Amino acid sequence: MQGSIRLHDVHLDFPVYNAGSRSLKKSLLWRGTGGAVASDANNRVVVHALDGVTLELKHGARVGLIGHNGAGKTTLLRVMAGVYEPNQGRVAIAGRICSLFDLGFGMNVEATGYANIILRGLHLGLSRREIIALTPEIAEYTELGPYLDMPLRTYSAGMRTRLAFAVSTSIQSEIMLIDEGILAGDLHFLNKARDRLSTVLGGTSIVVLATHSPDLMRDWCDSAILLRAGKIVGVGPVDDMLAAYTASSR
Amino acid sequence: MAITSPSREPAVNSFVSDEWLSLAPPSMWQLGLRDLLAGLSLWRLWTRLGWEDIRQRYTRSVLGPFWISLSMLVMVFGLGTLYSKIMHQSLQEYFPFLTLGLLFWRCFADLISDGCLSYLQQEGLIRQIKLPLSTHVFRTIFRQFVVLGHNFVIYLPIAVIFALVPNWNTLLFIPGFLLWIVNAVWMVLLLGMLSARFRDVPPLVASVIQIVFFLSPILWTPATLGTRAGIVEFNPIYHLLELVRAPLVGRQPDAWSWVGGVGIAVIGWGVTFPFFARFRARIAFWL
Repeated sequence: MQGSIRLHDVHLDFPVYNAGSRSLKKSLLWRGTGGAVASDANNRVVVHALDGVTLELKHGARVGLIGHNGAGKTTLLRVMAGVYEPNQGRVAIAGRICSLFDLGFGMNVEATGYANIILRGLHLGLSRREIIALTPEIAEYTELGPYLDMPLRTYSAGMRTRLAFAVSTSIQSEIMLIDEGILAGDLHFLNKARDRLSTVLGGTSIVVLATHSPDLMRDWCDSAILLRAGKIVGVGPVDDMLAAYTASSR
Repeated sequence: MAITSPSREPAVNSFVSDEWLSLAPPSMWQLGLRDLLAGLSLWRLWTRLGWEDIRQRYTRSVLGPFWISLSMLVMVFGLGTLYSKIMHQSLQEYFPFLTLGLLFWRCFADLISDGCLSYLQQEGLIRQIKLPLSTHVFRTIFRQFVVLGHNFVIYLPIAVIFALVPNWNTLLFIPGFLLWIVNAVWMVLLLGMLSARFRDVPPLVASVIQIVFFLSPILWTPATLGTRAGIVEFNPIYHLLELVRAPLVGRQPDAWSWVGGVGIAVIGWGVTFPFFARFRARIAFWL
């Protein structure tokens, strides 16, 4: 199946609630006092994380997201993953999504490694039978051996990442959304992870990668999107965009 | 590794096709309804997760969840013998009334207080992958019904001791309990959202629940109010309890209790669904 991602004029504001405006009392008081204390009781700070993003990614897209910290890379990935719905604008995604941001979700520390493979697979939309069929392959890839029969709380952080990564990448998906943060880990795992991703990416319809590493981006992407303050400022070949990015950061 | 795009036309555009834009986007009502239906269809996920929640809570404990059942059994026998004297009630009538009242009250109170946390506790999940938000609600409800199920074992000795023989009225438990589920879903849906936005809601709910316990006919029977017994009709909790309590002691629930139970469901959903449809997409930002 061919995946597609369409975003049209997407605006996304993050309300930043401080302790004050989250309290029911202040909210009620504010209503009761007719807005007189609005500035201090309801001082909501709003961050414009995405500001009118229009984008179409079709089958075969290999895109890197470039931008400074806070330029909206992660937010854009999360909009593509369907986690955040925009305040304004339209989003349409077709195809199964594999998102590799923070791998910690959907795991139970008291359950064994095997039980967690099933749990995580269910979260990712597989049926129990499908996961059981995939389990031997996942188990082999993790190299965790007898640890898979032990509860997850006995695992080191790196081992948990390895398990989570193995499950997420074993599922055939059309859209792959990768945040570079997950590519941290011990060197051996890092190399293995890159190898595996390269293989998986080959069969994926659309890949979006947010990274600060020019090498990784050149390896995996053929085009790039340059973001600045929530806006797309450039779309083009990776090297052009990297050059534009370097020029802008000087 | 070089990956070339298989299609000739560029795979990345900074514009979208007019064809897609001309299609009408789904309304917030449709999206709200879709969320609920998609959540329901993920029953394999939320039953499994609810089950794991319980397993995790009692891991490495010998009695496990039966600790709650045991403490409730002790409470029922203690309170039952004492209060039946205070209220001049026969043991035969008071014991089943109290046991069932406590069982379902416990379930109701836990549903409400746990329901407040159904989104707050799943913050990590909600911000990582796209799942229908109602999944978390169904997970909470399933978990509480599992607890109700195993607490129910304490009803068995009571039923045997006081010779509560099932009759046709007992079957009315099924529609009564279905009405419970319908009501539980909107309550958890609404409280979960309110609690995510306003962090005062969980403690507020917890304190209100304690008061409601004493104001509802659980420890005391409506008959003890004498000529003022009609006042319980104004307590929605009374109707909800009556719908499941009466069939299990072999009585038909009062017709007004059916009206009350259905009325609560209609009003509750009438408030909750528009609220859910309007703010569903904001929940991820409230966490």
